[in-house]
Amino acid sequence: MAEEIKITVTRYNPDKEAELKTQTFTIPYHNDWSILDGLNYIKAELDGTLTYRWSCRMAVCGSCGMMVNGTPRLTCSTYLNEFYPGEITIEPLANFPIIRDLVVDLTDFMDKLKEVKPWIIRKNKSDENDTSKEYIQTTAQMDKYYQQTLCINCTLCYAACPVYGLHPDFIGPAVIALGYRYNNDSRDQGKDERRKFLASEDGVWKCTVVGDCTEVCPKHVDPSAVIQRTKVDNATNWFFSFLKGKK
Amino acid sequence: MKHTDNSITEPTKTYRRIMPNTWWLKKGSYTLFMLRELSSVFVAIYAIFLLIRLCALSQGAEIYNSKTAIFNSGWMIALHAVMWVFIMYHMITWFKISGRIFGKKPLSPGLVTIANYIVWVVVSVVLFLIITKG
Amino acid sequence: MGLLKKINALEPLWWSLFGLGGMIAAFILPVHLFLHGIAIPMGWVSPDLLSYERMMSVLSSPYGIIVKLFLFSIISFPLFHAAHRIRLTIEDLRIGWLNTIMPLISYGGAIVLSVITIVVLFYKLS
Repeated sequence: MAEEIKITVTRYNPDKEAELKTQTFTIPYHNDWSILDGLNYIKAELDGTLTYRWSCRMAVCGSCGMMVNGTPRLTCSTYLNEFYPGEITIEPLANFPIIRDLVVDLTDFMDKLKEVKPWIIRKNKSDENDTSKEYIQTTAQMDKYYQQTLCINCTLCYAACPVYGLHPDFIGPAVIALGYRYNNDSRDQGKDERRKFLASEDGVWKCTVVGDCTEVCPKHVDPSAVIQRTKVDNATNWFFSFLKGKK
Repeated sequence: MKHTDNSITEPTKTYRRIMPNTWWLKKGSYTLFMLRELSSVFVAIYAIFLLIRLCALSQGAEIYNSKTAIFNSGWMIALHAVMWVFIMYHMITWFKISGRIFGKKPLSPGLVTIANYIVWVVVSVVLFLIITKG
Repeated sequence: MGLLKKINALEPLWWSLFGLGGMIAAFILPVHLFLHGIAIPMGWVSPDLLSYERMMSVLSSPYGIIVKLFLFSIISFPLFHAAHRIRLTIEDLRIGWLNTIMPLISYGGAIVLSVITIVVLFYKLS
């Protein structure tokens, strides 16, 4: 008989239950199966009602993030062989409200993402529609923000961040990292506009540098470092505007 | 400054998990974080001890000597040893984080952390010599 | 409550003091604590280093002012460092009632102790 592996998943049906339940499935073990392959097997062969998000299967879309044995991971790029012959427990991403089974509500994240204005802002608004102008950028200038462009909005960092879990108003790692990405783009002029949000009471100052966001990031965006850099930047700005008598 | 109207549109009845107050015991990295934060308590205690010594100094030889005797007692030395371990832990985590903050291209986090340690060794040796020989 | 709001608005200041104090605690306190708290009391180096006579002569020497400034910075800034960290940790531990007044207690405490340090160093010990 072929080898098998046990997967325990969180079940929640808002129409029928008030509490979370777990259900354990035994599936065939394949060395080259990702956890997502395992979940797809369950849905196709064992229980069609299991609900979860996924799309690209190649760590680009950022929709299949779940808690794998307590750690936020992309299930498409986490393999069964990492755990075999042990068991695997899959839970919905921590710190977000659960909609059903393994699907969480990301509305809060999406609202905050909009708020940080993750696009290039020009002081002269007509620049934004003027396609005749070129904005040349050197590689050194691009290096300043390139790492943060890799963010795929998978929200693993939010699930890893106890500060977000404790204070849901906290802007959170990925959104600050994306603010940093545009603030450090030589073509952008929106730093002061974003500052109102990033340096607000629920902004960078809330971060206590636990550092887990950086550990779980599948794209090495390093949110924890850029949050601290944003603090340095905002503190410097604060002292300068204090000296100039603006405060 | 409030960021949004915070109206989470709930498509259906969502289930909210509440973090227990013991959240920092649930994961190794969270516990280490809490120990790092705890180090600041010992930093504060040490600063207050120094202030106590200075206060005693300003009150004359008799009071200063009796306070010094307390600081020289076995349990005080043991307490300082514990404090020293926590402050060393603070130092290690501080240098690691500062490497990540300032280790931007063309530098690297590892390089900045190593530079921190080199400065630390120099500062420590110089201070040791000034305090003991100066 | 207005006061608490004002304290919170100074977040960049508290954070900068936290950073400065953390840096001093990381670079200077390990060797300083090792000497003053362990090595000298244990007699590994001359115990006379902290005697009343020597301390007073150091503080009244021409270099005394430098020693005093040094002592002030290793007392005051680490206190602000600790104040900020303890305040945020209390928030993370969700000790509700303490939470709201913590900024006042912690930063207030650091300010009061810093003022005492200045008075002792530059007034009483002069």
